[in-house]
Amino acid sequence: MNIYRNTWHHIRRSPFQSITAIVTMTLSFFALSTFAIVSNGMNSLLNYFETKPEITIFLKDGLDKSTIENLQTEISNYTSIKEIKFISKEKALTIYKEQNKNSPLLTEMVTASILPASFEVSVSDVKVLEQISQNFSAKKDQVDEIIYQKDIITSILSWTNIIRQIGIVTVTIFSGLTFLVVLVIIGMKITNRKEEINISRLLGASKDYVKAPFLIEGTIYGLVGGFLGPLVSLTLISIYKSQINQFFDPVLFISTDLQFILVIWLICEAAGVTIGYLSSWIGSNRYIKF
Amino acid sequence: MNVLFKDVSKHFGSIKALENLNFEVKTGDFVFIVGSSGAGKSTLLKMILSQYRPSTGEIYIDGHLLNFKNKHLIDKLRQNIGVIFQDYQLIADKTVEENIALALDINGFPSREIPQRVDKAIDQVFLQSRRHLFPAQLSGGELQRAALARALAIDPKLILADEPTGNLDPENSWNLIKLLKEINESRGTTIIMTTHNFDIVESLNKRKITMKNGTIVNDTIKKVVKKLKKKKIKK
Repeated sequence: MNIYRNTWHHIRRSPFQSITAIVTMTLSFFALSTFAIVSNGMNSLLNYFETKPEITIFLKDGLDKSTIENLQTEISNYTSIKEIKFISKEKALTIYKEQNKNSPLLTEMVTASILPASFEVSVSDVKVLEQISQNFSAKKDQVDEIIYQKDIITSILSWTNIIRQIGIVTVTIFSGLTFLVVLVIIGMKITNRKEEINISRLLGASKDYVKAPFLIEGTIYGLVGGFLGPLVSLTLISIYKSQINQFFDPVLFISTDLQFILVIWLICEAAGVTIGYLSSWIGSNRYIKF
Repeated sequence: MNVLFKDVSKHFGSIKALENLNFEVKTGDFVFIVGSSGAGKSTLLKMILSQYRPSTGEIYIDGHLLNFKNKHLIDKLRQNIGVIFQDYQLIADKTVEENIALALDINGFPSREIPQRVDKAIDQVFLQSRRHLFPAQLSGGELQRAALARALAIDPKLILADEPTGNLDPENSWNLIKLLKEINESRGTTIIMTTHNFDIVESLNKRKITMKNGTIVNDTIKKVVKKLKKKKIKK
């Protein structure tokens, strides 16, 4: 019990050092949770585009049934194909009429013969779209046109990658910085309490006994930082959540899934405890040699 | 607790602090170590406490050779030793009772037992009114008594007292000595005490080891043994 009292005593006796450690921890986990939430939003965005019919292959008029079947078989041979939908001329007309039912002028003159048949292909891996697009563009006698939301996907992909990279770099720098800050603070605290440690050792305290309050102290910094970081991040994001989600509508960019929030919190707590414990362990091993 | 020094020397560079010490303090003994400043009295106590390792020779505590690589053994031995340091060695930002409680916690006493033991130790040294004060708020005598209370609280097998009466007035000095004598007689606690106070040494009529320049120049146990041998021969 005395170990916990000693730990509290250490924290209370040098409050500014303790606050510095907690603030640095909080900043790190604020960055980690913010990037996790943004990264999750980007994934939702990508997922939305990936689950839509990502590529539409318009066919030339006059193709016989076996040619169309061969083309469908060829598409289905690609990996990551989720769905292939054949839209016949008649079906295309029905869709067209449904889309323009409020504008009779637009539907009056249109017949099935002027609308092309097409394949709507959805995939689970956007990279496959590039291959399909390239290969079917070459079939000039069968394929009339290919509509492929390449630019949007490429843009989202590159943004996602950039955000992830910035996230990884920022979180790594902050984690390293936090590690060093806790290490230095624990080192300073040990130096300040050198006399107490020395006396305790002469009274028969083991090295583990004198190190324990410092290890618990580092772990507490990690626990508090790991709790506060995501709390600050989620609070700030919740303030702007409706505007952000409205901007990305119909995609739910900011997730309100409780499980997702809990996972972020748990990861931050686990990382906090690891960083706090490890840095204080190294610090105490380095400075307590007597 | 038994203490045995075999050909123990301690050198700090070219300074010979202790030279070829041979003596044994048996369980339950009360031994005074006297000598002028720089004679090596404090160094000797520090060696029993394993603060210093001998340059040559061997030290046995309760039959265990002090092996400085075996930290666990040293920690365990220290837990059985109550020390009254010359400079008190009380933790500055802990109150008197917190200092005592720390020693008890280090010794592994259960939490529920600690407050009672703290109370008892404080009562023994008459520091009830000072228990919530920090070392900086105490007088020299009170600091000495706080250090004694910490040493007594753990029910040690051996008490090492380095000039414990150095900062006490004559009345408190005698009270402290009476207390140590009582503990030695009632509990069989071995006591090794360094002092300059010859009145106390002479009045108690206990074994006296006199040191000079790091060596033992006189050990009254030899005279006692000789007297006993003479008595046996006469019979």
